[in-house]
Amino acid sequence: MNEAQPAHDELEVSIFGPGVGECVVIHLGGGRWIVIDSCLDPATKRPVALEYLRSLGVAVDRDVVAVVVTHWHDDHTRGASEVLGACTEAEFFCSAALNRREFFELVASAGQLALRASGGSGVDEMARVFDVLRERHAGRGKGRAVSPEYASANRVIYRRAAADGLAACTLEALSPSSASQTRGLLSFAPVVRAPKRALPNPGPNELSVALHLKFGSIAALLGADLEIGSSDDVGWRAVVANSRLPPGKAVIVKVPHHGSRGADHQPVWTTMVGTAPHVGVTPFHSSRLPQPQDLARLRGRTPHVFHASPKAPRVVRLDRATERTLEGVKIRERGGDLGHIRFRAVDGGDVACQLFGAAQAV
Amino acid sequence: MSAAAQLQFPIEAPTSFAAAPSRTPRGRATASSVAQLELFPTAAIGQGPTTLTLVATAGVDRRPTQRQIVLHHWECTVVSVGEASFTATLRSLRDPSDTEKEAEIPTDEITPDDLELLQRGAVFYWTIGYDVSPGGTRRRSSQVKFRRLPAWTKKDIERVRVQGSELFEMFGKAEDERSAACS
Repeated sequence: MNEAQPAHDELEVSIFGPGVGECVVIHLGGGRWIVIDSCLDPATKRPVALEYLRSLGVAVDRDVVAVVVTHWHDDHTRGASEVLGACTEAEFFCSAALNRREFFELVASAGQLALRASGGSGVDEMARVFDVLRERHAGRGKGRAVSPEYASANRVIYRRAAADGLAACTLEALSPSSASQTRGLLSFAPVVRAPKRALPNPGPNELSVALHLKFGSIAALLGADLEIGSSDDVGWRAVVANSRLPPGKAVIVKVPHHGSRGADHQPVWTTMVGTAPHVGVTPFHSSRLPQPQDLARLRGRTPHVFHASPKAPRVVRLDRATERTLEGVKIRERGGDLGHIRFRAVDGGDVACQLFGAAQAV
Repeated sequence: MSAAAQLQFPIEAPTSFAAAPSRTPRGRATASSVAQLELFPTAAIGQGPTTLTLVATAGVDRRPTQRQIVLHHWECTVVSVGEASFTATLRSLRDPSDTEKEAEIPTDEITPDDLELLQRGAVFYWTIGYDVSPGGTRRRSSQVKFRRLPAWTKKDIERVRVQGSELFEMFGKAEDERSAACS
């Protein structure tokens, strides 16, 4: 059922969550697509964006115009290099906070630890993304033409004027703010005598790229992992203080940072979101997000709340000898079942929601 | 035989490997630390029967040693540390196709000496099984062994800086280009 393509003039915002990780796939109309972040299907270990788009019959090498990595935490990057490698015509966008020598030193330091079974960190994945870009660079010989693009507040990622029966469409970054970029880069690169780690300093969520999508009269807010922020010039506080906010109150919301309280800024809901929006939230089961009170708070704002994968990951049943030895230590699968929340709407029409896999209405 | 004595350990296929210095479920050392690194053969653990040959350089104890039957052997990465417990991802070293797992582990599972290593990004190996004495007595065993990762050296950092600079020259954008990109 979820293999039905959207209509030529139809917006689609698909939110995927396998329990740990998330990915958003957008149909911009006219057969053009954008992929935001990446996660793996737990069953196939392949990027969900590629599997979904191919199941729709989309030629990903031609029709995906951009791949956006909102930040480099591994729950948003897994498989991003494979996605970018397959989407050969796509531009690549990442947070402007990464456009620093220190970050590239961190990328260069990836792979220093040859762990036997490690799945790697978000930095490892970013290193693979840059490998893909380097290959393209070598193959095309156009130098900086295949450089990553750096997204920050008010950076337009995609723009199309209304034409041929298609609504005008603009995807614009809301963050990170200039202050976030400056403050967030203090401890990226390794330093002498510090122990090597399998996971580097994750950096703050306020470096995330939150996005605003305008499709004709419809607006969507895609919150990435952006948190409220510790001062008025970072995080959501900086977003709502921005005098150049794109117009349009969102009727579709990808809830920021898995619904956590620290990412829920009331002024965002009053100034940027419309009445009774359709909202999708992805879990991060490792941190037990969203919590029941987070879901209750969302339900207090709108009746249309959808959870990508609400069931907690299964407890792994081990042999009796091991369970006796572990004395109550619970071992779970990392992540749960893959859920898919799909919003579709034509310009001027209502938003329709379909749920697949583990996704459920709250 | 030279001073570097050659030891042969029988391996019980498919679930055992030669005795490593082992700890009780609460992490107390129960065996000599002689040739500790060589006797903890991560690379030697496989699915099929094998005989492990190890070379120790000194201090070899020729008495019959205890064996370990391994039920699970995971490479683990600490992802968060709480007051009484920590969370780690687990990847099976015995079955690489096994799905990634996550465990919340009481901090008292860690020996006091290793507590300083308990930080996000730390790597440890967790072995669950039985210690089998020379007389055949079995005792359940949970052994947590942190990998003491090397520190960044000046040479490492220089290499990283060169490689990072090359990447930045290739992919970084100057401030004026960034400003022009904003509309």
